[in-house]
Amino acid sequence: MTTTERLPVTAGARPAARPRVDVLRRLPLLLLPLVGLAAWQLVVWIATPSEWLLPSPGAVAEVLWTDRERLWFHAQATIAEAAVGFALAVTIGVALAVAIVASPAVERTVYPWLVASQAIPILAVAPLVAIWLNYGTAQVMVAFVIAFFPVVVTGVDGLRGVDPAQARAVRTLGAGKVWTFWHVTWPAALPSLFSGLRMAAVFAVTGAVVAEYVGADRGLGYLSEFSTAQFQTARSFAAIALLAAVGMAFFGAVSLAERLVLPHRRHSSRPTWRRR
Amino acid sequence: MSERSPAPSIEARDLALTLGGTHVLDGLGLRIEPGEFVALIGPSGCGKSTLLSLLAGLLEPDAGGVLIDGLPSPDRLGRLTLMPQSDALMPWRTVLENVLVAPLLAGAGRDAAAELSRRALARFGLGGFEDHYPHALSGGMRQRAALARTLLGGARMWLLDEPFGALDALTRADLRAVLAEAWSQERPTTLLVTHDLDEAVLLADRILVCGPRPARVVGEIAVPLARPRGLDDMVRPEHAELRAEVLAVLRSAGALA
Repeated sequence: MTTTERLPVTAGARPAARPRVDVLRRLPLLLLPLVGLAAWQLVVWIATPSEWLLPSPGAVAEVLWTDRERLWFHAQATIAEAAVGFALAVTIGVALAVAIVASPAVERTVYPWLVASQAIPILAVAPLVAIWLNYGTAQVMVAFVIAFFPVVVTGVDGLRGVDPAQARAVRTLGAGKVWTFWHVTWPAALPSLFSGLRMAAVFAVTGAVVAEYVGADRGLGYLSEFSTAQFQTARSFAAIALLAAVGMAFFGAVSLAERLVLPHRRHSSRPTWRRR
Repeated sequence: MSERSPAPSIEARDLALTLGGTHVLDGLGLRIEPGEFVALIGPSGCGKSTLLSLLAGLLEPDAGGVLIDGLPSPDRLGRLTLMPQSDALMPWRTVLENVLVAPLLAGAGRDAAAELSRRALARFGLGGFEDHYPHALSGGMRQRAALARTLLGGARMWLLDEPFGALDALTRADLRAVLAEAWSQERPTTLLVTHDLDEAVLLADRILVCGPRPARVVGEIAVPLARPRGLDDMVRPEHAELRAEVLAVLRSAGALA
């Protein structure tokens, strides 16, 4: 038998102009913050506000450097709280998603309450959580509570989204239910689940910070709140800048994990209407 | 893989199934002899795919039973390989890893399974595409891979659910030849569900005609043409006569105007 079909399937074969296009595409990413910083600096020069009202970018940068040890101490606390909250959210969220998909009874009894729980404003509950639990545990708890919802929802959607034909085909090849779950249903759920994990990673940081604002003795949220109260606005800004970096790092870590776990998605992530 | 066992016979006896208030099957019976290739042709939505699920053991009937070699076989799931219209390849596995599943589940070790899969892919014209993901392949190439997987499962009974229904006419003709050759070598007991008269006449030993829902077998046409049958045989008078015969049965069953 001879091959009659040949397709240009090598995904790596792209026009040579690619690197330049990449730089052009990334330029706005670098340009945007620079423009923002310049505008900020300009406002400070023209309006000359007092430093406690609006510090200059230079002043914030200076604090970031001179106060780096204190900032890093608080950053570590926030990172630890968010990481533990995120890990709990993933573990419990995925387990719950599997239970909901496996059992209609669990779905009926748990899912509606899960949705209802998300309608409660976390800002209203966070102070209570801070009273009930000790410093650290409260932050982990709030991070967990807001991070685990997207994990459950995308997990359930992903597990339900498996192509039944794939499961049926391997079942008739002799696969048992456990094999089918691990080799068909679970991998089929991963792309959807990772969307939830990326949200959960950022939410976990937000949750930890919210809980730091209402009652903590460390963390970037605590430092920012504390500095504002002391009119140390530049330090507050520095803490917020660091917080943004922590959020991006969490998001980036999950995206990296996704690229490693789902290599086949690298070539098909561009929407069809933009593929060349 | 293990020593080749003789292909068993498949029999459906008085199958009845109601799904969501609809009588999908009501007293359907058919028998496929060991190593026989039977095509089942009939109108859309007459319950042919449900019948394949029942035969495969993915569903159990409300009444009646499926007999393998004359014996009731409640644990038949895994003994009859189902090949669906969608290739059902897993997009997160390379072509090789997809095909490899079959010998692995049939009990081969990982290295042996990989070796068997490489050889089968080369035989089906997919040499060099082992490490590609399915989305990088054409529909015809994906269906070739699905066929290789079916073959490597080592089952002695094949259930083919319109396997080429989504392909263009030329690719379909090509794939039919690939299937006919694989089947001639393995001689599994085979039931092919199709909408395509030519496909039925080219591939089958016998054609069963299925009436509108609830599905029943309303007619039977033997295909006494010599094998191998090629595209050129489609213009022979015997082929046209058989085609006309199937059409007549479909009309009298009310499946065609």
